[in-house]
Amino acid sequence: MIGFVAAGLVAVVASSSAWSQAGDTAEEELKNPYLGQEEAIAEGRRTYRGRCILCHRNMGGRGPNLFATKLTDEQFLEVVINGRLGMRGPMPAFGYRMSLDDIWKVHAFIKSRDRF
Amino acid sequence: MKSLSKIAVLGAATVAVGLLYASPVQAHVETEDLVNADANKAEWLMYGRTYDNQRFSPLTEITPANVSEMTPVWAFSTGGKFAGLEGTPLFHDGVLYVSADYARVFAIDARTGMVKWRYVPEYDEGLDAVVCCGPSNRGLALKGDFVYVQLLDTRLVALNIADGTVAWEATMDDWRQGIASTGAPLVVKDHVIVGHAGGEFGVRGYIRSYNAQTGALEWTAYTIPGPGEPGNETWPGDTWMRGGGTTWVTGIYDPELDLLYWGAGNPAPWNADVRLGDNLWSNSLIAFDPDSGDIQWGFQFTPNDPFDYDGNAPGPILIDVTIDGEAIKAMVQSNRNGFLYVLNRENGEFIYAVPTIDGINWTTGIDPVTGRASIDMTMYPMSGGPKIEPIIPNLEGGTNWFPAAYNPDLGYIFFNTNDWAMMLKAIPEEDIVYVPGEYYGLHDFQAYRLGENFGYTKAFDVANKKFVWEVPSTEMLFAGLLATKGGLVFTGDERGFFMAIDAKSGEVLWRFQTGSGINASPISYELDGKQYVAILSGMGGDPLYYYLEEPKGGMLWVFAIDGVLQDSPASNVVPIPGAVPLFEQ
Ligand code: HEC
Repeated sequence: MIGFVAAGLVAVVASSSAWSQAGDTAEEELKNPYLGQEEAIAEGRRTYRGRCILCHRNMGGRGPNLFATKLTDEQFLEVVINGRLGMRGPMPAFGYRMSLDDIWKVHAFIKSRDRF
Repeated sequence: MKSLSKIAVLGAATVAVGLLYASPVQAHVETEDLVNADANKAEWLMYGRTYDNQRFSPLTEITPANVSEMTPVWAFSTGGKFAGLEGTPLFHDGVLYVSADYARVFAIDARTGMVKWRYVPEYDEGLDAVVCCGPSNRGLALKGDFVYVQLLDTRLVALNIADGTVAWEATMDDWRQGIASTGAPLVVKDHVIVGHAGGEFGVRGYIRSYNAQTGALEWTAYTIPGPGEPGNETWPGDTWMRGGGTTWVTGIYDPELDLLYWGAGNPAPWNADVRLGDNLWSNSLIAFDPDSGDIQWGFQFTPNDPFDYDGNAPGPILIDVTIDGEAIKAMVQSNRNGFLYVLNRENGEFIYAVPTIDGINWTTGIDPVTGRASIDMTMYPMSGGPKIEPIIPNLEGGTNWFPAAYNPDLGYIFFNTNDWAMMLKAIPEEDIVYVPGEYYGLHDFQAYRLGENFGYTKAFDVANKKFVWEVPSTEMLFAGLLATKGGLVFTGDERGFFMAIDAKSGEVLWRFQTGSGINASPISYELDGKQYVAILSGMGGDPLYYYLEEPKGGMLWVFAIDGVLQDSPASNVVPIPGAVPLFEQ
């Protein structure tokens, strides 16, 4: 459940960011609407190369292998928006500079194959 | 509600956690002290110990004959997020100055192991997303009243040496563009000179000089020449604007020649066929006028580099040596492209180069007169072309940023190398798009190891151009080295072993398991007549691309033979105010 976006926060972060867009649908499990769509996958690949490959490399590096992640669509979204300081190191919060669509498209890309 | 607390720390603030106990007045480090650092046998005043960067301690108490008796005297945990330690501690006036991940700084009383002060910078949200290789910090600089540290977000901070409070801070650049800083500042006369990382984010590399007293910006010197400057013609069109050539490894200085030497890293983007030409001064060693930043000369190691062979790693070492009967003011560097270079440091003239690892195949050879390397075009990843493998060395290099050491008595340079290869496949040209803070044109990359042994500690006789010994390691090596007049070489490995090697024979004489991978550089100092050796241990940096984080760590270890740890009323635990007040009736 994406219950972490409080109304007060939206004013602090850019209004076009994923923070504000994910806020209204707190009730049901979110599903990626872009799965399997070729154009979205191509865009997601570009974003992956620009922002994620730095740490996640082709099949995992400083961060785990995203092509093998067991997270649900919504859990994936939550980690990318909020970041996470896990045992392995900091997963930065991207909610500040990626739109909900951008994140879904990266997710569609990683779901479309088993390595970069 | 973790997101709420994150928002609350938006905007950089800086906290120095106060003075824990009063310190006596300190003797300040001045320019003459830095120039004559070699004569100050007991202390370690700058990153490379001396301006020539030899990392050679003149101390002789610990020798091959007695090093087996060396034991830990005390240790200190740097705590925090345990995100990896890569620093070289400094030692001055009984105090160790240590930098840890996220550029946290500790001043520690070396007699007691107790913290005098600590400095914990705070950063804007999102910084981690543009730091390529971990939130490392490699060291500090001293001068006058100040300890200088460059923060991960490129702020240069002068801390008051007495209590760690911030005297001034200068913001060098906008980290959101992908510019970060991890290196130790270099103080030359009244200049604090700093560089930056971010070669993969489409930036144009530079070094900057700030006034050591006031923090005022004095000059900026770009490594990639702009229009009208010599070398700009080696870049087609406006490719120079995002040409890379970053400066993330600390430079060195020759006080006699009054030349500042600083290396520049790989050109950007990685697709070399979109920037056909030599791409000066990427992958080069550059000599600057330290007062103006004007470039005096440069020497390029890997022209039009498609392999990410940052030419600045590690920093070179200045040595005076006789080669083929000729006395030369030389500089020696074992380069990431797999070759060790000897240059004339007065004019950048090439003297010779030798391969430091087996199987180098990216070049058809180095011109014996000019030193220019020719790329083997069958190994050159073309934009949108097929994958190429195995390319040797790997982009992490024959060696990398971790500092080498030199023993002038023996004439040997000591350095760590790794035997590995890579696959590269260059992306199509249309995929190279500049977006601030995003990776700018990277190849598809895969690393391969090549044999049972991975890393090697090597000794090379510079005058006689020959390798003397090597010590293999089953895992990669990412630690710096220390040489001592006592005849030892100290370094560490990813398994966590800190070791002492006989400088002459290469025999490993002593090992200690520090608990986590060693990615930092050892120092030696003398306190109350006794020689100590110190090293930071803590897995981090580039090895985290290849190893899981375990065992994580973050420790300063201090060793000696019959070392002394004085008792002290001070404490390294910090009481929570009001948690346990004194009971009063
Ligand atoms: C600075 C390095 C870094 C960058 C850049 C980065 N990540 Fe991560 N990421 C990590 C680390 C480290 C972890 C593991 C955190 C932990 O230990 O739990 C992680 C974990 C994750 C996870 C959780 C995976 C799982 O199976 O639990 C997801 C999802 C994720 N990252 C997505 C992304 C996406 C998408 C991008 C690009 C938009 C990205 N990351 C960019 C470092 C990074």
